[in-house]
Parts: sequence; C-alpha cells; structure tokens
Amino acid sequence: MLSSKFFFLLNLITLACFAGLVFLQVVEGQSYFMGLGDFFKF
Amino acid sequence: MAIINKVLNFLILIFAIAALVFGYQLFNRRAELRSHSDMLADSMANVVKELDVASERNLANEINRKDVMLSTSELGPGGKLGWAFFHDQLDASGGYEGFNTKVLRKVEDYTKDVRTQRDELANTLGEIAELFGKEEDLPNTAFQSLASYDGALTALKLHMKQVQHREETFTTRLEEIANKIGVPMEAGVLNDVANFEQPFQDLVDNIDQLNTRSTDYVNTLAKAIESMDSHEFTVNIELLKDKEGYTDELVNLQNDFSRINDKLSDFDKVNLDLLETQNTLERTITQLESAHENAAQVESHLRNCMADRSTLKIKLSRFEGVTDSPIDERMAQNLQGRVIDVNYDWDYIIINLGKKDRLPANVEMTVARDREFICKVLVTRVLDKYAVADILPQLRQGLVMEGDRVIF
Repeated sequence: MLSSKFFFLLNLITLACFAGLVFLQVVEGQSYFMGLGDFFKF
Repeated sequence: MAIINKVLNFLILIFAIAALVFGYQLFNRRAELRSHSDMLADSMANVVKELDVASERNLANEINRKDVMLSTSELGPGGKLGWAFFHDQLDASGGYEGFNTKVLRKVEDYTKDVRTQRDELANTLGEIAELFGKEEDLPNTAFQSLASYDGALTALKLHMKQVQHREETFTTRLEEIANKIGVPMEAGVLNDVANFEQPFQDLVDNIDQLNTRSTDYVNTLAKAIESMDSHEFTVNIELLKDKEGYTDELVNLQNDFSRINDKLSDFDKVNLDLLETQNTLERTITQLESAHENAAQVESHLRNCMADRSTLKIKLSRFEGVTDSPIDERMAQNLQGRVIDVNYDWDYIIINLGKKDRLPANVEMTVARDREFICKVLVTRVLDKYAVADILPQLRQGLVMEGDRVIF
C-alpha cells in the first residue's frame, strides 16, 4: 500500500510538469504573437 | 494530506485542460504558420519559374517546393524550398545559414540579376530614345517604371516605325533621284548600314557635278547672250538664272536662236551674192589689167613710132638741107641745161632751155646726173625760155629727176 505522501509527491511532480507545459505553451504562443487572451478565442 | 492531494489533483486537472486547450490553439497556429510558409515557398518557386522563362538559367529545377516531408537525400533535384530541406540545414550553431546560402541568397541574386538586366535594358532603351531625340519624352526611368514602361515602349516603337518609314522613304527617293540624274544606284545599296556611305557620297558628288554643270551652262549662256550684242535678245538673263523662272526664258532663248538662225540664212545668201560679185569683179580686173598692158604696149609702140618719125624727120631735114629751127644744130651742140620738171605719167620733161638759147626743135639730147647717163630725150616743143622733150625709152638707164643735166 503506497503512502499518501508518495501520491502527494507524485501529484506535485505532475502538477509541476503541467505547469511547465502551460508555461512553455504560453511562451511559444508569444512567439506567434498570441497573448493569453488569444488562447481562449475559438 | 488527503485534502492537499485532492487540491493538487484539481490543479493538475486544470493545468491539463489548459495544456490541452493551449496545445490545440498552438496546433492551429502551427498549421497556419506552415500554410503561410508553404504559400511563401510556392510563391517563391513561382517567382523563380517566372524568372527562368527565357533566362536560360533554370534555377527552378533546383529551387522549388515539394509537398511531402522527405529527407534531403530523397528530394532529388529541387525541393529546396520544402520544410525538410530547411530542417536539414540546421547547423551546429543552431542556425540555418545553409538554407540562406543555398536557397534564399540564390533567389535574391537571381532577382538582382534580373533587375540589373531590366535596368540596363531600360537604360539602353533610354539611350536609343535619346539618339532619336526623344530623351525628354522617354527617359530611362520611363522604361524602368512598371506604371509607365508599357506606354513608353509603345511610344518608342511608334517613333522607331516612323523613323524607319522616313529612312525607307529617303532611300527610295534617293534611288529615284540617282535614276533621274542618270547615275542609277544598285537597288538597296543604301540599306546596307555598313557600306552605305560610299554610294551616298557618290550620289552627293554627282549632284554637286550636276549643279556645277547647270550653273556653268547658265553662266555660259548668259555670257554668250551678253557677248552677242549685234542681236537684241528677248531672253531675260536674271530670270534665266532663276530656278523657277528659267523655263519661260528657255522658250524665249529658243525663239532668239531661231531668229539668229534666220539671220544667218540671210547672211549665207548675201555671202553667196557677194562671192559671185567678187568673182565678177576679179574677172573685170583681169580684163582691165589685160587692157592696160595692151594700152601700155600700144603707147610704147606709139612712142617708138613718134621717135622714129622724129628721127626720120631730122634726117629728112638734113637730107633736104632745111631745118625747122632757124638756129643751126651745130650751134646748139654747146648748150647745156637742167631738168626743171618731170611728168612720169606721160614721160616728158621740161628743160630750162628755149628759143632764147637758140635751141632747135626735134633734136635728141642726153640726160645725165654727174657722169651717169640716164636717158635720151627728144625736144618736141621749144618756147622762149623752156622746152618740152619726150623721154625716149631706148637706152633708158634710170629715172629722170629734177636737176639732172641736159646736154647734146
């Protein structure tokens, strides 16, 4: 049985990865002249 | 801890949704970017194709785009505008200088070459327009500008056609002139741009000679008219020299020559009459000369007869012992006189002896000059102080002159 602390660390790492991914996407979007608002336009 | 994990899970879900949404938007952007890149590449490939037309460089075989993601080795000829080739040009410094050098710079240089060609063509056309006096209407920039080059070319072509038409007209007319002045030119020889100068110079020389000859004709005619002052010409010399009024004067000149010809015909008739008269006169002169010779002979014979008669008469007197003169001839033998006058027409002289000197008639006396014998004379008439004596042609040695001595 894995401890809750392990999941906490796993969640923390996953969160960091997603946060980094979003950060990179935002940065890339800026190179395409996209502001944050542009990501939410469909 | 469970609550924190739940919060973290919730945050992860939020970031995951955000990543998904952002990824979707970025995907669209990348597709848009790719489309943009492809369109640019296609356009560039089309530009290269257009530039290749008649350029004989065939850069389109090398610079084009293929719609497949192939590696460089699979591209074959061309395809350098494709994404894969661009991707393969990534160098160690993280740049794409290879793509720039192998593709973009070639296209730029190609474009610059074509532009240079355009500018040089425009400059050349401008120089041609300048050569034909159209530098103000058709400057170099008129051929460079896309807005004006079409009109400029049309204007230049129209002008060149006009110039060509003018040149053809000149050539044709010059050949006609050459034919008219009697020195025909070889057909089309003036169209030879490399060798037209000599035939043209020949034509100019011939025209000069014709002009000189025409001027000499006019001047000679004018001098001839002025020198023939015995005929009153109706021709006007000044109008004869005039290039427009000379034709009427030539008609007048012909009429003058006709009248002169009539006069010459009359002169010929008069000349014939005169020649005939001259012949008649010569015959008459010959007859007169013959008659004169006969008369001289008769006269000489007559004088001889007279001398003979005188001599016979003297001898008869001696024979009969009677003289016409009361003076004895012997008494007169000491007389000596001088010739005081001579008549050469009738050959008699007058001497300064007469009856007062007891000079008898019908006696012969001698005429002498110093010791020179001149002739014999016969005293035919004796006056008181003078006597007349005929010159006897016999023994005549010279011409009797006044002052000559007369002795027995």
